[in-house]
Amino acid sequence: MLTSTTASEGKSTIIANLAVEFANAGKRVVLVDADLRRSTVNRTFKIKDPNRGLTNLLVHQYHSAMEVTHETGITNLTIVPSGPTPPNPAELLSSQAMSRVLAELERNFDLVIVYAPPILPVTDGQILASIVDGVILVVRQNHTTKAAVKDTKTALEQAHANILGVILNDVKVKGG
Amino acid sequence: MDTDKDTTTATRKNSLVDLHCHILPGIDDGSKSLADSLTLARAAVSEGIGYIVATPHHLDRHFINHAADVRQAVQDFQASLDQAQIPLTVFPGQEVHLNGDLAKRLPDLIGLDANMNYLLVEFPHEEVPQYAEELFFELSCQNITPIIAHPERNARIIKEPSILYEFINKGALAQLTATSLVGGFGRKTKKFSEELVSHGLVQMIASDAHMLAGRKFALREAYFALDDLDRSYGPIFYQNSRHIINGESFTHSILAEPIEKRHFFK
Repeated sequence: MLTSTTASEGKSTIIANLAVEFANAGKRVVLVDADLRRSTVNRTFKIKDPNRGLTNLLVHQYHSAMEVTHETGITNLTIVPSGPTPPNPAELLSSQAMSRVLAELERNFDLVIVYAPPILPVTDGQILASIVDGVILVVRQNHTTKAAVKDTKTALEQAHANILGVILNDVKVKGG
Repeated sequence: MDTDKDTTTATRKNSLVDLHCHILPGIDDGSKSLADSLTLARAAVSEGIGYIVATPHHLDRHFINHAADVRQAVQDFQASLDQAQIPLTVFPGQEVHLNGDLAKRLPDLIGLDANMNYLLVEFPHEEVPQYAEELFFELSCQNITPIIAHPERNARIIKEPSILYEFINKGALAQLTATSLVGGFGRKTKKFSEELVSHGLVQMIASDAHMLAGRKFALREAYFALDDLDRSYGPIFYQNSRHIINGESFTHSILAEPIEKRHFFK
């Protein structure tokens, strides 16, 4: 799962490239947009009917996760868009259904990449962090304070998340 | 558009689309008679309108207009228009009053397009019901985008425009009444309408024409008003209406942002 401390740290660009790279490397990748509040993945990959996605599944409109997957035109890369914005995102993400969705996708793909909302503004990211295998944190230089990043680390630890590492984005090279 | 029935008439067909109009005779508080309706139709054509979605009230306190009845009424009215050689094409639609169980009433609803990808909904005048958010989500799950009619005249939204921003942010659309933008409901409504346009919180204008004094189409005038705000607005709104009547998805190119501060009483 990929997340960040606050909004606009560059998650969507990084996750899109990451997913494409893994797909090009021959892994069957599914990218799940679990940012139910401000989804962007459907626009990045120009999904034609974004109203068939994760939330539809979580409210039991569909039964199998495979019914809400969308092809991208990129070999090996499948997308689950977030679907319509629900009134209660955190509640949906903390449901048993979400764990079942991830388990089902894990059976059908080599790699499940989850796009999560930022950790500090809403609880969604923390909830997701507790049910995925590992978390990568995107930090944009000169955008997020050290204190905020530390808070994020604490929040992730509280959720018993397995922090895999940090991507430092938008790095200014000295003298460059 | 392949439904052009007026190719035989001599008059050149207009291209403006009106997505909200009470033009059907005798079924709501709009036109009272066929004669009224034909008068409205001629007025529409003189405004540059070529296509109208007839949207009688449905499920509000006074009117129930079942889908089948509206379709029949549109068919009859179109025949009258053709006979009178008025170059106007009318499509069936409804202005659906918000009800908590709307998602279960879909078979009796008509969208603004043939596939019901867009549904015109009306809030009560004074408030925004609590269940609206949940309902909009249910509609979106059915691939129906709700379009909020005349948000600029809703008392609650006027007081708290952030409510509208939240709906738009979650994928709903909103429709401005032409008369509001040209000042027909007063200076405050006009000012608020302009703010809604420039903040991307309304994506189309429509006449909401009734057969009432002071409730003209005003659509052409409203497009001029858009032009005055920004030269790019008119074409954007014009295209949006066409996308909607065709049931096509589109991206509104004015970015939605909350209205920060209100200066009404300055």
